[in-house]
Amino acid sequence: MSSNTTTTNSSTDVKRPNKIKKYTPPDENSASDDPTADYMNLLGMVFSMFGLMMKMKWCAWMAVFCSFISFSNSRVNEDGKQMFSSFMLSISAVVMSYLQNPAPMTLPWQ
Amino acid sequence: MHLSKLIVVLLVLGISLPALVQSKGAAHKAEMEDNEFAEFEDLDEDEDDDFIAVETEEEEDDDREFDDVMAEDGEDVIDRDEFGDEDEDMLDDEDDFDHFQDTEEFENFEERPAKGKGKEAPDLEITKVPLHLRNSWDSYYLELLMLAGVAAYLLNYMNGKSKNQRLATAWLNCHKELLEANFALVGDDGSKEMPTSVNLLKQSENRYCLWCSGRVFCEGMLVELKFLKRQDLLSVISRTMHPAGDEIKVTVTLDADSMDSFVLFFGAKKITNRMLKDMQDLSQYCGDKRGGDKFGLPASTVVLAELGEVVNGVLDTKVLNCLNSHPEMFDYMHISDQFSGPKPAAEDEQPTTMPPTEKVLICNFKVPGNGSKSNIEDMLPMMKMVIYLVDKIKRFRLSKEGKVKAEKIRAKVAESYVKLAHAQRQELAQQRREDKRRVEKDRLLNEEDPDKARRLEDKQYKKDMRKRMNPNMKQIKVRGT
Repeated sequence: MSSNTTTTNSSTDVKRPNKIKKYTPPDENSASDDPTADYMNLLGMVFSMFGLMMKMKWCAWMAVFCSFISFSNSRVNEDGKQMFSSFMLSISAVVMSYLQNPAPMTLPWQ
Repeated sequence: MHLSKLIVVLLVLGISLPALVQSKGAAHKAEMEDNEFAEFEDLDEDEDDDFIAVETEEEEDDDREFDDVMAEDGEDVIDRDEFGDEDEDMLDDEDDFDHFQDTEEFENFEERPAKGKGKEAPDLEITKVPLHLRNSWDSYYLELLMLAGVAAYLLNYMNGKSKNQRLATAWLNCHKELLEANFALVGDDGSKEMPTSVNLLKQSENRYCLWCSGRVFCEGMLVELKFLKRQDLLSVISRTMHPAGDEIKVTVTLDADSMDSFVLFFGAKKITNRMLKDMQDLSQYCGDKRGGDKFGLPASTVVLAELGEVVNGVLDTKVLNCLNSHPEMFDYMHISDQFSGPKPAAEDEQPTTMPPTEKVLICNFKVPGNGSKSNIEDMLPMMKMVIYLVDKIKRFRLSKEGKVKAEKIRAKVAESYVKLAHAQRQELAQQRREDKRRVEKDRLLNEEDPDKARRLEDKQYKKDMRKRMNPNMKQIKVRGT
């Protein structure tokens, strides 16, 4: 590749250590281009609430899945506490619904 | 971080154990209940046999009755016989149902030989025992399905995460040499001290980025590796419907003096239309779309250029060769001296001042194939092209007419911002005036003393009249006093 030759020819000229600019991470508050994690977190919260309040087992299970999806889509620098609480809420929804009624789950259309 | 993960796992185990025990207990209970019922079912079976036996006896009675009628042929006799038979039937019935009161009959019914249909009884018992067991676990099939789903999700998460990680390191190993030859700083993470080794910055499980800086003509270069969400099972499934690929986005921030004033964009038709709508600078400076085949680009590309001369000036044969040899890798390229990012989302958020602009070169590439290591290593020529373009843009100068034209367009855009700001200021002033009038009117209405109210009203009226008759008069008067 010819561009390679130009860069190697002038490699001594090209680098400028005195011009180094540090990396500035993008603004935290700016809307990220991938809101899946936030949406799933919210959806998981809603499902857990339904699972806990209305004793709907499938809702509780959906909440567990939502928190898993939210976890895998989350950014690295995101607050871990929120993820943790989402997991706790959804799992407790499942446990509570089975403690109160150990009968097997029924689907919403059954 | 690891500790918190460990805690999560422990808690999950701790919570799920009681639930498991509970469900097992429930299953056992269900079994017990079923067994009790089974006993009763057997009894029912037995009773049925008895009933059948009774019926046959009754049939025999009827036959005899019929015989009697045929033989004697007399009304009185028939009546008598019928009544007598009825009595006999009742007595028979009582005899037949005697064993219901007899408790012994129920307790050791198994020892009693089954009447008539004894062959079927053992068959039923054999089939029923495993049926109970299967029933209790069968009914929890949805729960098992859910647990299997969770397990599948976790497995996919581990697998996808490590695959993305592998791809990222493969890219870095392949491009490290080129980048270190061109940039004084490769792989900064934004912390105070200088990085000792070249490392990608992980933003999420499917996004990595690398910051390079310290080169002539540019402030820095940010490479973003946007992999597919291989760690998320949901998006893996949704990808079977909407296929997508890995992407590499390179954003070079150019020095203020190393680029002439022009805006150029080219890419596939779909992305070009979207960017034209979304990007502030494209919608302001690039009006007309042109086919890419006129400039030696692949026919599927669309070019948005502020000035026609820019396309041929920037895209020389080397760049065109590179793009044409791997058309499947190229997504779009955006070179702009007025880049200010996407437009503000809401209509009412129109900025009144010109947003801060920078000179950038943005290239987006698609990694062809299904995400193997060799696919991502093939992207090296594209990175070389980007670095070549940085030098090329520095060397490129607009012609005299082109420069004048470009300056004119920039002045026009700046003017439109000024106009917008002016209009907004006027609107604000109008609003303030109206508010003031309303306050005065309120005061007039709330005034209780009629004399004072009349005086205020007169004053207001005079003021209004003066304004309406000659707005300039007031100014003169004000200046005079």
